[in-house]
Amino acid sequence: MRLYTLFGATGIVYLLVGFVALRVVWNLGEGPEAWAAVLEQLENPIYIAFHALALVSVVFVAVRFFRLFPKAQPAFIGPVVPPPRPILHAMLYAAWIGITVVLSAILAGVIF
Amino acid sequence: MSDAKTMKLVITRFDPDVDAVPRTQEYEIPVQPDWKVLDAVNFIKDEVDGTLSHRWSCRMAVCGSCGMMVNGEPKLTCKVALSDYGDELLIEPLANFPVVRDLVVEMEGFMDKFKSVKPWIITAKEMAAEEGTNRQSPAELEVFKQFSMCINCMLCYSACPVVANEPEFLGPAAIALGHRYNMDSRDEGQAERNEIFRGEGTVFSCSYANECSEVCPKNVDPAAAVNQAKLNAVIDWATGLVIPRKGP
Repeated sequence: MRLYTLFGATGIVYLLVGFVALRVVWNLGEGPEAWAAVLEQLENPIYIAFHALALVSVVFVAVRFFRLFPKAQPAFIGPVVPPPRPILHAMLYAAWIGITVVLSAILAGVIF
Repeated sequence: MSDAKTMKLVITRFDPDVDAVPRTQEYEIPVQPDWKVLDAVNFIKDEVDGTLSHRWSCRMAVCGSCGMMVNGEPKLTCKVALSDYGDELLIEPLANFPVVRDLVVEMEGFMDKFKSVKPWIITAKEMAAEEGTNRQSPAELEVFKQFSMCINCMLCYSACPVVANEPEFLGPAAIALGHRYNMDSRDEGQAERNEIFRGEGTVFSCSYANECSEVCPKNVDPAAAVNQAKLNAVIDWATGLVIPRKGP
């Protein structure tokens, strides 16, 4: 029960992330000074620790999903046979790494 | 009795004729290093307190009778070593089941759930003996073999958070059994069972906690069966929209 409870508890972290995001977006609408102030607040160690916790939560949920998803695939769907579980695992992690790299590149301004 | 040490077992006791609620009773007993948890419970029953009630039979993880909560986790007590625990052990009846007495739980509802998934081979026409045997290749067997290894020990029901909240939930073992027959190449009852699986309190009540598979002593992986059954039930429903089924 412990892992499942932990999985459910990550919902609280996402709720708080939502509140932080709303606050940031709200300050963006309040003008450049409010925006600069909120950016400064986000450099506070408490906010950094909170976002580190959010990152750990997301990784935990992703790894849990990747562990459970392949075995939920039926043995066959009509004539189609899904790839073996290790291949499905590899595909999920490859997609995750690929999307992370692309998003990081966009956020860093390397592309677009 | 060489290498004997003592251990304290705290066991839930409940006599419906006397107790309003379950209570605990402590037993300090000598234990052997090679004992399983069941051996300790049997020792209490045989040597210390004959009034203790519990189920057991084969002692080799085949009959599925001796499931109990051991330190809060559902375990097949003939399979777990006493040496895996410290000097004190809490033994309770399986969670999520009504208690009949002490460590014995009511199984009737569980068996009714089993029957409801039609756990037998359904064919449109029964083969006559002279028509020969109904053959199955090793590859066809492999598709469902894992799900047929269930010993009905009920640990998965005890671990399932959905069963805890919705006792009417069909549950992991029954769904895994239905899925086992749906995957059987000799069976023609998939439409009937998928109709059951699309009903309330069945596969779509499962939140994929995976706890059933974590506690399964036979590696049946009921969580896989339940979630494969979800997809199959949806595919069967969608196919039925495009290609209407023949009447009964």
